[in-house]
Amino acid sequence: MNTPDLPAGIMPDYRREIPAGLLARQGSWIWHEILQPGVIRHLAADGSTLLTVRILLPPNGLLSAATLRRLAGWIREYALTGRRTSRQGFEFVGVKPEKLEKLLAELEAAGFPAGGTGKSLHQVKCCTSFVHCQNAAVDAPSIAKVITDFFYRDFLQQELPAPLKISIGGCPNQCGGGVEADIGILGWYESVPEVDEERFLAANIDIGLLVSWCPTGAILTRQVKDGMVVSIDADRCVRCTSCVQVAPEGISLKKRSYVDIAVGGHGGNSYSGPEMAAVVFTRIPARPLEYKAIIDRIEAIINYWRRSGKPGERLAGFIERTGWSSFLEAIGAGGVEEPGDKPSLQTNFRRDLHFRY
Amino acid sequence: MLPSDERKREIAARARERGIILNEDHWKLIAISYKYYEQHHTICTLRNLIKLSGLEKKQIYKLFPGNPIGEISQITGLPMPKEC
Amino acid sequence: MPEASQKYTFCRTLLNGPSPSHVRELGNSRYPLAMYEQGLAAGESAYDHGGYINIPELPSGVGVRNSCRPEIIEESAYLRILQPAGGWLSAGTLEKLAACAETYGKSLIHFTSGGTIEIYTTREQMVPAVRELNAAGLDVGSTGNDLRCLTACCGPARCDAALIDAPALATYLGQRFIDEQQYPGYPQKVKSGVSGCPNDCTRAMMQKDHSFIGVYRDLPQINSEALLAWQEAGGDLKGLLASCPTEALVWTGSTLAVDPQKCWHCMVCINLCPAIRPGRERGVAWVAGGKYGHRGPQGPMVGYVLVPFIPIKDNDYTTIGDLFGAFLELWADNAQKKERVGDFISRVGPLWVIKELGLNAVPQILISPGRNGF
Repeated sequence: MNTPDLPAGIMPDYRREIPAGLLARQGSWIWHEILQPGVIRHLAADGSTLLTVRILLPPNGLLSAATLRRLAGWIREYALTGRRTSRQGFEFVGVKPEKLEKLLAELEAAGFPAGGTGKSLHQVKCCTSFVHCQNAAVDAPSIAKVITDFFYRDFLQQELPAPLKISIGGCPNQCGGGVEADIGILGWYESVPEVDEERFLAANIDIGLLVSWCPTGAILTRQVKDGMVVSIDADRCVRCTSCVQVAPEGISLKKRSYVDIAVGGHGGNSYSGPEMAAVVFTRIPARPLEYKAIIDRIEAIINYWRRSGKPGERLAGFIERTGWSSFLEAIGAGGVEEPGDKPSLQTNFRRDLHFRY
Repeated sequence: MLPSDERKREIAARARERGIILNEDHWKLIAISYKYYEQHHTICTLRNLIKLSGLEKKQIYKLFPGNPIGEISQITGLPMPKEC
Repeated sequence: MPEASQKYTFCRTLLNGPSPSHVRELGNSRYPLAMYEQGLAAGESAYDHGGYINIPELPSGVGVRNSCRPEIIEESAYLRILQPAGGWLSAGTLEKLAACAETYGKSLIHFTSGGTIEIYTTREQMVPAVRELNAAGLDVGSTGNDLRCLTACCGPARCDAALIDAPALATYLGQRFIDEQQYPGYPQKVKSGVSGCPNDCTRAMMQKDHSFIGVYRDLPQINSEALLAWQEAGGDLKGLLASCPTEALVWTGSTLAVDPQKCWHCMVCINLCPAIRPGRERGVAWVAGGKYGHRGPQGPMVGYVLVPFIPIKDNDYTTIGDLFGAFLELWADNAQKKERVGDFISRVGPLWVIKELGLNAVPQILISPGRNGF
């Protein structure tokens, strides 16, 4: 076999994506303000400005080539360059002020409205689920679509107490980041994985990895005539599905699933430092497109916060002020399931950036 | 459980089907993989293969292009690696 | 809208509503919509576990999904493209991606939540697609047990809060460690991200195994003239003072000052008031161990601070790269199979890692001294 000449070893340089004129102004920005939902203006020390327009993309950053060409066309016509945001949205950077209105009108007509800045619902981030993934317990993109439709006004306006970020992960892997958002939706399988011993024996499975990857030691091995089989200790199993990953031929899930809804996750080191969201509703049914139970609960959370949150108060800060018990009562959350035991983190080590020197 | 001569012929044939003509270094890596599996009941990671063989990562990628651990498993019949 | 999507009940429903629809995008591509419809109707994905792919030319950046419905599609292969840091995409790059997806893929592009770009394609089309991407200055990687694509926030090209040039650092690390991105060889995947300031808009501390976050060590700088102008324009001084989480902002009646004993160097006042700008002594905090996933003993976790301040001078990132490389080697040599960085550090302890790397454990990495004597 000839030695392949690939991979080419190219880490793309972001500087090629930014016109020289804009790159030259790097670091000159001293402040920014939101002119209207979706439109951000950055100000430089010399008084010059830079306009950014943020738009809503379809869930999960799925774009046809034709749409990609439209984005490119809008950049060529109206802006300097573009960027995909870390929440799977898109921004036009360096929009020409005299063409702003025309761009906004075209975007709206094309169904990619501007918004999702400041005190609004930001782009709902989610994983790919049934579109292209085998792990997903629930379909995150369709949940994202239904949520975005329902709270669409909050994307276009900035009338919430503070920014609201919703993320959806379809399975325990949480590629969609349900664990990190103000409101997170987390897909789970209901049942403990089941072992089909015959298929397991036939499949030549890496049993060492199967046993060692299980975080709770729930995989028990047993020697039988034809080799080694395993059983799963249901009391220990936390349904992370790592075993299904190692042995899909012999271990499978009864594909009944549900979602948990978690609140108060936030990044950034303002106030209490980055924190994962806490589960407030569990075992909410999430059969595709029958999402009323999810919407109702999210609405209860948002409405309570909308009513009682102080200006600038993120959901996490709001809960910290009001206290969990009254928050849970106000949103109608019942008894919350006890979290499973897990080895404790090294709790005296810092996991925020609150340094004093 | 190091391969017998007959197994070796099978392995070489399967390697040929996958476009790999086995040389001394290939056999070295195969032997290490077998031994590792025997001792640890899990297939050898590339990291361990590098350490145990003394070969560099890119050399191993030249010997078994694309996915060395996967190819070794394909050829030898050891369990396949699982990615996600 | 092609008729194809009209005959699928679930997909058709998702075309309704005011917000942009992913089904519209799928329908405008050659994506097999029947697969998605099947998943929605059955309540479980029509894709299946497993699937082995081996493209000799491409050790990483390629993947394949098995299908439960081979009559619709036998399998679905995809290319994962390294995203230019900061998410920056010019019109030209978008057009090249579109052309590549049209010629070699299913005319569909996917911006993943991890920060990469995927094109769904077939095994046969992968190598020619990658050659075309290479010609456009792009490349693939970021699959399997490798160093995943380095992501960053937008950086100082657009942002006024950026303390460091995050995309430049991510690009530097990406270029220096490109072999680790393209030749998988670690015990498990390892994701990395760079954020320009403690606001951490990319949530690197939570999502990424490694994150470098821009920080400042001196105090926020207050411009009294600008403060006066801000107040005259309606700035809420009382609100500003109250916003400080450590009550470090002190108003004397005529001037504003920061109490150096109290300030913990976050961004709250800086975010609120243009007259307060970040300090000038800048560097990065190194945080390791973040992850979203529920696999591994710890489940989702925020990373540990390993080093609170690594100075950056003259855009020289060599020291950071050296530390990053040393850590990756240490982790790779000592981690168990499939052990993410967060679980690894939780098991061995941050202090062990710091000691092995020959670093000093500075007091800032601790919230308190240990509470037991073991």
